[in-house]
Amino acid sequence: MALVYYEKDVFEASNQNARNIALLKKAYCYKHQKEFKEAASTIGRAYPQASNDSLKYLLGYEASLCHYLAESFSQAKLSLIGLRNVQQSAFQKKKTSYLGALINLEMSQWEEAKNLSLQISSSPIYQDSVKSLYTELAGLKLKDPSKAETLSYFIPGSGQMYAGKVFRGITSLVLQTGLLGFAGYSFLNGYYFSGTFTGVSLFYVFYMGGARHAEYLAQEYNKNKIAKVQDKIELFLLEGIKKEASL
Amino acid sequence: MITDFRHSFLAFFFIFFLGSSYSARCQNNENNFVEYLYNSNQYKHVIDYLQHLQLSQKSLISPDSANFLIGKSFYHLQEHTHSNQYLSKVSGSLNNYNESRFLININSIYNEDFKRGYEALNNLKVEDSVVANLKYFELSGLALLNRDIAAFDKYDQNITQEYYYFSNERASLQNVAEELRNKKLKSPWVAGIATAIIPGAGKFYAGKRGQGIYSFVISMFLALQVWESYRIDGIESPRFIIYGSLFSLFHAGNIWSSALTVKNYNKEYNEAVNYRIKMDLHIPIRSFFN
Repeated sequence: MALVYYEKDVFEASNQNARNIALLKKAYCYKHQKEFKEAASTIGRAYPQASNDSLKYLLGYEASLCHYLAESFSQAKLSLIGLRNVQQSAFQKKKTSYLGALINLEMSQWEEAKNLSLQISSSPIYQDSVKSLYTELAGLKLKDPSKAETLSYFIPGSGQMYAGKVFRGITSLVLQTGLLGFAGYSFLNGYYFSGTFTGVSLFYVFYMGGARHAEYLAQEYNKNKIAKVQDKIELFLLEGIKKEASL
Repeated sequence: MITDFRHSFLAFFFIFFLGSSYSARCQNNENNFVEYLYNSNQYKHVIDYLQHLQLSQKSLISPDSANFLIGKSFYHLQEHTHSNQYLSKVSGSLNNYNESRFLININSIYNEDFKRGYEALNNLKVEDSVVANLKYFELSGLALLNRDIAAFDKYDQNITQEYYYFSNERASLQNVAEELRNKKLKSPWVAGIATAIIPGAGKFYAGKRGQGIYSFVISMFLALQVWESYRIDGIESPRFIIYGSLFSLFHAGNIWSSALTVKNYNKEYNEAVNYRIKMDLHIPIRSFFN
């Protein structure tokens, strides 16, 4: 219901500035209800040029934050870019950098994320830690998905083992050898149809499927590895900004 | 004494005037705000606001028009059941009564409740000739939804004049009626029996050629293996029994799924026709009442 009354304020606002304030309050309501998409589009209706810098900052920052929470990261980035021309206090700048770093991390733009992360705090310990965390991220040993696929074409199951799933690799190898064995045994004993349709065709299905599965496993492996370091960085940045806020 | 009396009279008149203009302004504000919300497509807010006003019982918007607006907002949000709850409360004295009846019909057909739509329109007394014709048009569409082609013809003949609001849609409904007259739905039995004789034929019959060929090929592969094990090992060998039961299982599954495919085919056909009819019934209402 509060939403409706804020909308009424928007409707009855005598000038653009009052309208912006009402829209911002309405967006806070939406944000509180975790309806981030609605919140972002509500701020999108505001006209920041009509307000002073502190309100401009709030509008831009909240728009970006709500887009980020609604997982539309490129929109979030765009809103932040709009903040460049707005006068900000030192801490506001740090908050902007923090949000920008988080957005860039989600978009896998490590270099930009690193630069923004470094702007949060100037203490040497913090700077060193951030640098080492991003070096860790850049130095991650990742698995090549196409290599996993090719490996499985040469030796069935080897691609899965390469992607870190040894047991699956062995199962795949045993199954495919068994099917090929069945096919050979059938051919030797004159069961040509069984050999072809049960042995060879099932082998073919598992062979192709196994290779594709190996590729998928390698991709998953990479995703998990990156996500782990990313979580570590995000936690660290959170600590950093908290410290700055308490100063 | 006399002047006192005159003064108090004047004061009373003044207060009365002030009060009435104040309440008029409030009403104006409420109306304007609701109109603004409605026009900017914030239907959820319209509903919340009007429901809130209804609860507080201080609203200056009449219950009839509040119910109508809430119902129409629910209609825009495609919550047809809620919409009908409110629209059916609208009394005959409101200007928009006709519109509410037509909207109840539209809501009901989207809820697959054709009977309710029919009741909403059939009892409607109209003097305006466009609305009367529109009513017959809607009733003819409802008859088609019920697959009652005789009733369709009857209502269609009642339409005395072509209006641009529904002339295209009327032609479209007439086409649908013609199609339904000539259409014979497919039988699941035929599909099942066809597949039992030639694997996959039933799917072919249902119009799924790719699936038909696929199940034919797989059946042939299995049958060849059954035949091979019979030729080499004889009828009591484990190999024959395994492949034989595999083939039988697959064949039975094929027969069943062919019948199901035809059933689905019929269902899809009916749904597609109904979708077309519903659109044809909906569009004129939109263009006429807006």
